[in-house]
Amino acid sequence: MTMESNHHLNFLAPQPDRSWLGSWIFSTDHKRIGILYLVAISTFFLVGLCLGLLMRLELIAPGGIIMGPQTYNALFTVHGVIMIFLVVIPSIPAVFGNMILPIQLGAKDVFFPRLNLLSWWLYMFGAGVAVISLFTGGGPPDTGWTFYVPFSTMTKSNTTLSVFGVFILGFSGILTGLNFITTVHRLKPSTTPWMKLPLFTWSLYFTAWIQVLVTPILAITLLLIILERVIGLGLFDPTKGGDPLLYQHLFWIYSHPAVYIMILPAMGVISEIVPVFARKPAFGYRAIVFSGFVIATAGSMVWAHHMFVAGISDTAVMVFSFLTFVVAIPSAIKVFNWTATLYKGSIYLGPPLLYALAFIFLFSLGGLQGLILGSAGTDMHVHDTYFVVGHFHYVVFGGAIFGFFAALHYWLPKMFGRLYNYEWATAALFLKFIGFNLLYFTMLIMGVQGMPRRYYDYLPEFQNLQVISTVGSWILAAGIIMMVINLFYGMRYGEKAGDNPWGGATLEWTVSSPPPAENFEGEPVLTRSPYDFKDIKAPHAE
Amino acid sequence: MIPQILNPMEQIDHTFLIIFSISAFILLGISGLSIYFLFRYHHTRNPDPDPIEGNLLLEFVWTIIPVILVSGMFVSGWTGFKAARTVPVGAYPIKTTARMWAWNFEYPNGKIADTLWVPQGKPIKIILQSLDVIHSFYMPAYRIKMDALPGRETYTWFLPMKTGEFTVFCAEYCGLKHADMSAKVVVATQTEFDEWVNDFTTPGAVVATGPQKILFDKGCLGCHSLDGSVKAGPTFKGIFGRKTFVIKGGQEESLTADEAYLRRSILDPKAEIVKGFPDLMPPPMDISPEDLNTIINCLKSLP
Ligand SMILES: [Cu+2]
Ligand SMILES: [Cu+2]
Repeated sequence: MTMESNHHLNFLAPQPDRSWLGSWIFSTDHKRIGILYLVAISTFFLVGLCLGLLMRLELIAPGGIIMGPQTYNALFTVHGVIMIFLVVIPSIPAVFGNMILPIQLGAKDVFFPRLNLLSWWLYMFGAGVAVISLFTGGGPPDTGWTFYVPFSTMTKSNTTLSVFGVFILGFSGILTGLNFITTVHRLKPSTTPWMKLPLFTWSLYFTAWIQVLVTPILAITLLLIILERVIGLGLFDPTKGGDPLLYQHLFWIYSHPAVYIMILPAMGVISEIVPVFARKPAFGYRAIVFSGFVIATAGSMVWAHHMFVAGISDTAVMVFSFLTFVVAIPSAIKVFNWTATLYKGSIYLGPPLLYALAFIFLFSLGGLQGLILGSAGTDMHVHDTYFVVGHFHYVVFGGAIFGFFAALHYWLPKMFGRLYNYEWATAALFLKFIGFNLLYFTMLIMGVQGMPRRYYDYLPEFQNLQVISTVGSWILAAGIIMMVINLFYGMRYGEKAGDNPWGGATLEWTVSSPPPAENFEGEPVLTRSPYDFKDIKAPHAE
Repeated sequence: MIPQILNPMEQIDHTFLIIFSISAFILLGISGLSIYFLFRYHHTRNPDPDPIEGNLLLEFVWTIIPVILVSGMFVSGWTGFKAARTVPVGAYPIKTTARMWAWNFEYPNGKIADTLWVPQGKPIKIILQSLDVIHSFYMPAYRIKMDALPGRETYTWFLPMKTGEFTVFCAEYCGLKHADMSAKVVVATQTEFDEWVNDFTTPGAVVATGPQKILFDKGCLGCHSLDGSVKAGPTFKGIFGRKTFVIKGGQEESLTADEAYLRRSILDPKAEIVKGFPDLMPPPMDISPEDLNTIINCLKSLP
């Protein structure tokens, strides 16, 4: 920024009093911890991606192509566990929550910096245990990421250890959530009114609450699986008076809200990018905040929509179907508000906005598919088919992960001070968008035609669509590789970004790029609303 | 509340159509509008943005309209579901048993088969139960799906309309051969059906009242055939006194299947695995000495 802030070393500068490795893995600086998460999560994402590609390759023709059924069953289990618990759930909060939240708020760090480092260590420990479970005992788990009983209590694969890994990962998430809630309450500058907090901060705040409230339920459920396997507790075993449906309830009481843990932060990213690139305030700021609150609360009351044909009572189906439709409303409101933000703006079509638009399209499409699943009658037909697989990839990949991609293109220049190549970014997005829809839209069609999920083999009539889907996976992967190369190259050798390349009005754009180790000198005072762009230049927005 | 003659399949397809059309309309509307805005309000055409902060009336409108739309979808979807849950009086009951990785269908006259034959035009009630993990009875042709649980009965029904062959899949992941767990459905005319159901010699049929009933009840026939065909486990045909190669403690051994061996392999199936077969068989949850004797005697008597 100015001579003055250059005087303070930026957070990436070497720390001569520590070894290079120690300066990272023992750092309590929220920005460095964010980068630690970025490295770990990206690595696991690429691993999960490879597993997905292998599955798609196996499905290119009926019968066995490159593996047997046991390997296939292990693949979709490990793909699911990695992508859900190691990638998507932590993704935006752990990476960009850590990197950006304190700066955006006007704080020097999170409220508990050492707890923050512990969260990362717990994440790595849990991930390590999950990885060890692949190579020890009875082989990689083959239960599906849902660990449904009684199968998960009977299978000989190494389920106990991988469940324990996920159990540990849960604590990492709980502690991060706790940290963010405390940070927002305790470190928000006293001069900043709540209704002037950036929308990204709001989304992380709501997400943190869900994480703190529901993750313990997952922890208990996983512990019960372990007890069931190790000492034969019998809580889920009908021959001992237990009930397998109890497990499904417990599992989904966590895992449905988990979808919002994944998607709310991405919505926050989009709510940040769209106003900046439209150069006008977020349309309906209060409505966006309030809908975030409604999603966080109502989202905890719809879990049994995963169980319409599981053997629950018809009345329960009616109630949960209705509540599921209710939850669709706040998401729709957000989409309408983003669209309206573009109206009468002065739009710059930079890569972050293009990624945000891809998010809005894919998420809307995914959300609309949710209506088919929320409606009890149609759910009976498409439940546990490829339709569900396609649907949650639209929401979780097209939503949360595309939101993560948008955040990478929006905030990495802040963290590393350099820009990437815009043409490459756009071309990579185009490839991903095409590949994504080939890969997953075909799954929707197959699902409606009656192709069940988690099938190693299939009837010949599905082959054409399966082939298109597999080809889509290659195009998608090519786009992702292209994006990774572009970002990597850009962060090292790209053009200097300057402090405020897009013309953002939130606090992170007032500090230098990369930010100084201490973020701010003293407590910053807000001089404008988070989406008041008057007189701010956007030198690199297109 | 719901008229009994309502065919769930038609109602469900109707709901599909409603939700698909409304969704397509909304998606195209939003996409079209966004693309128009991107073009019309590009900074080269509109250098000065209008700092509108929101519009309460609009927020109200785009809350209320979706509420109305989804309420309609909810009612339509629920009607279809309710129809699939409301079995018409006098529906033909077929006891359906799921196990790793096969289906068995038991008819009121005691016939048990691995193919689901049903008479055209008559409502069929499927009464479901599982012998091991959770499976799910899924017949895409009639849009119905219901989980089969251990220790609890569930049900669904459908109205076979056209004669022909269809498929029942297992939709709930149940392990190694989940993808192979399907059964053929034959919708036949009433006359053809009557003929089939009273013929206890059709391929795949088991006489539930005969001495072999125990093998069915205990779930053995899911993996072991009676006719010599190879399923997940070795066939029962001619099993007594057969020369068998087994893997015991990593070593290959040959033995003759006598009574002691049959007993061992039921009570502790992991100790000796027949060569060429995977180690799949679960040890019995609880088996009385009488049942065990009946099974052994039955195996001895098999051709
Ligand atoms: Cu859900
Ligand atoms: Cu099954």
